[in-house]
Amino acid sequence: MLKVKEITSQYSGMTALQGASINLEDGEFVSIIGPNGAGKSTLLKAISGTVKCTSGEIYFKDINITQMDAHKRTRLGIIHIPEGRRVFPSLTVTQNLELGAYRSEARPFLRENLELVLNLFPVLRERHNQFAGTLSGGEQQMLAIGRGLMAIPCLLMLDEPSLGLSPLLADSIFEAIKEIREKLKCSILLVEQRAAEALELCDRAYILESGRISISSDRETLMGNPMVQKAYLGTA
Amino acid sequence: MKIGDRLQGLLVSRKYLSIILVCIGCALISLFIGTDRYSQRILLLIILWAAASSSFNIISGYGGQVVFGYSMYVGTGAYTSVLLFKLLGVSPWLGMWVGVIIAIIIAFIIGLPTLRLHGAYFAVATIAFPLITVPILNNLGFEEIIIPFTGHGALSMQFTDLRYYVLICVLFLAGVLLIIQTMECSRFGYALKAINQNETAAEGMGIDTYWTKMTAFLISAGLGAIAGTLYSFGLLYVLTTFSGFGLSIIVKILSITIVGGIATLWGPLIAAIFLVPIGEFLNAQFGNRYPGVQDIIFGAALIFAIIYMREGIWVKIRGCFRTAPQRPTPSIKPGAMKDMEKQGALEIEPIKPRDVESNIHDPILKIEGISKSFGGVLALENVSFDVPKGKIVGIIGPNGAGKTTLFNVINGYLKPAKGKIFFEGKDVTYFKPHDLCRLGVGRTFQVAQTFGKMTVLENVLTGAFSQAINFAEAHRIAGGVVQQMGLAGRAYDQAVGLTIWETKSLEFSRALATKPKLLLVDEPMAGLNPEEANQIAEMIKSIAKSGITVIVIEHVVQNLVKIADWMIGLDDGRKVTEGTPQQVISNPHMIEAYLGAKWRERHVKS
Repeated sequence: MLKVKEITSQYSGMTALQGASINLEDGEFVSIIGPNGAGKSTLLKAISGTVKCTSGEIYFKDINITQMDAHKRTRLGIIHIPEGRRVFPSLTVTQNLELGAYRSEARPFLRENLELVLNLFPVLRERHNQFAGTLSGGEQQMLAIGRGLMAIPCLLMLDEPSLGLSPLLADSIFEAIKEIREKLKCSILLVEQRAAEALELCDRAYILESGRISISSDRETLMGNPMVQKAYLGTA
Repeated sequence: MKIGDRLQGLLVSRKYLSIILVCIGCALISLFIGTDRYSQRILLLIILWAAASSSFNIISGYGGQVVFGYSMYVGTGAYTSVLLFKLLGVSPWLGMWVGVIIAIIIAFIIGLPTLRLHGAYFAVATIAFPLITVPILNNLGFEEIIIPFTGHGALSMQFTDLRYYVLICVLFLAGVLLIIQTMECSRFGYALKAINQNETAAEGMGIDTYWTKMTAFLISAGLGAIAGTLYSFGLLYVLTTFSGFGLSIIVKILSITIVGGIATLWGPLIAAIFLVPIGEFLNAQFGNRYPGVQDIIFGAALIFAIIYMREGIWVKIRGCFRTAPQRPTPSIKPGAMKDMEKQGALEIEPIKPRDVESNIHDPILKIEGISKSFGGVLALENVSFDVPKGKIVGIIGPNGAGKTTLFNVINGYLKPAKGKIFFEGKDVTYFKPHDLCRLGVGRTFQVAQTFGKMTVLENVLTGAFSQAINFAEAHRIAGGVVQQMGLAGRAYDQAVGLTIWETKSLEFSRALATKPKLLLVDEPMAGLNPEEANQIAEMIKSIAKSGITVIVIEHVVQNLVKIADWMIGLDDGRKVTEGTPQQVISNPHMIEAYLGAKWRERHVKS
């Protein structure tokens, strides 16, 4: 469904991606792990169109989207939930979620979807009338993910959803991601520092180092790789 | 790393010399043009606008506090000296200084409340004052003042030969540029630049942000008043409220500053050389048919600069002559942690806290019954604990438990509603961050707050200034810290291009350069992979070993447990438990509300 072919990209003057290629099948869950500064976030931004590629091509459902504007990609169903919980602080939880369904394909299903998201994150239902700025970090993260889901993604891209969350909340976010996959059947691309959890959830994973994919393999092989265990899992 | 002081001195004196040479150059050009009034007039305008824009640049460019109402000070200078001359016969040479004093007093009165406002609010607040002044002066009958012609003479600042005016203005320009140059490499200049980029962080580095901004504002206002006097006596026959306080003044100054380069020494002069003659030419050609046509060129240049070269002409020109500095390989390659150990980058020499005196058993910090609420929601409720000297204290708790609020209360960003804080036995409850920083409370932030457009070394220098007695010592401290923290290879790179790991190291370096006795560390391991997180833990350990007490907020509890001597568990604004790490992570409340059973399965061997 998604084909990224050898893209390179510059980010504030520095080359962040140097010919990275990834593939994603329909309904697949793929994690990307790698050290800081390897270009993981840039890769997601390149796919969602917030960062331009200097070379290479990106295909989504066989459409070449390399030069397409970010908002048009969103209309195709590529939903990117960036790092750092960017909710609209002076809108209520419900308003934030409703804005998520801005994409015209998602608007008719607004009510059903709202119900689905509120079932997925019951805490958001409790706080539906509260301003998003007054939520705690974990709740804001749930809201950000919930808002992404309101757009009915074909491809959901999550950038470090567990960043800055307590162990308990991080676990519940990962549980929620699992549930999203079962209920929505969309493809998921996850970038995560907590590699152990990211690998547990996914079907396949890529390791991105210095702007290139260094290892691409299925979950079990990767988890058995001693280099990966040492560098990313903190075991062995 | 250590920069030869002589080399530094040489560089600085070369810059002073170039200012003096350029100004002598301007004077010579004027001398050779001779008595052609039109050319002399343009030269005079260039120099005057360059000087006025450079004065504006101090508070608005370097300090980042845009004074849209800058014409207030130019107009005050102009009106004071002209009125004194006309009504009382006071020489403009004296009237100019009276104008400076009045402008400074006005700026002080305006600054007192408005400098507490941030960003756009300050800019908008300043614009109100010239708008108020114009109708008042009009009502008093001062809408137009004919500058009396009392015969020519040096004493009344009236010359037929425009070259005298050019000479006076060149001296003024030289003065302004020398002030800016001196400022650029003083601790005041660094403080100003730091405020411009991140006021919160600047405050945490021991910079009194309010008074630093005030000083810069007063300097800009005073210089503006001098420009006003020179402008009216050098170029005007009739002083009007429009020419003194009008919008076109700020339009010209803003265009020249932005086109030339915000916060640059030479930018305004270069932009004035381009823009003023074009404006004057248009005015001479079409001014009769289309009055105000010259403002079009300034407006157009402003729009062009904002869209296409936000850094200004000067940075572009400088870029053509300078070859791009070789990008040194990042000091720490991501993921290449083993190399780093070999380089010994993490063998931190003890960065000594200022003094370890008094009884070692006294707590360095005492928190007594702190409460704080935001709009009715209690963020902290009656929190008390002691922090023993030289130890590592970990604080854990769910998101929204009040951990960061607690830090903000301890180091003065927030005032508690109830309760007291004692640092080394001294009540510091209502101290400001910069005062606490000077006492020895350092801080790193959850979301790194570096000064993006300053180099790594400059970032650390800003911290070092809070304790160092002079520039050389600050340089020595900063250089040492940068070296120890393994950032030497990046010392001259802008902070904005650093990797997450380097940014975190920079935050630590900057805080350590303030020589803290107590360091507050907010979520240092967030966003790092396990190996990097371990390195941070090691770093914190060696900081504590050097005698600095550390309080750490962290969600990567498994790493915190390894280094903390004592832990505190918060939930819902209340202290739930405190004790040894093992006790705290075994507390049923913390397990239920925070850690989760899964975490214990994974990390606690039992």
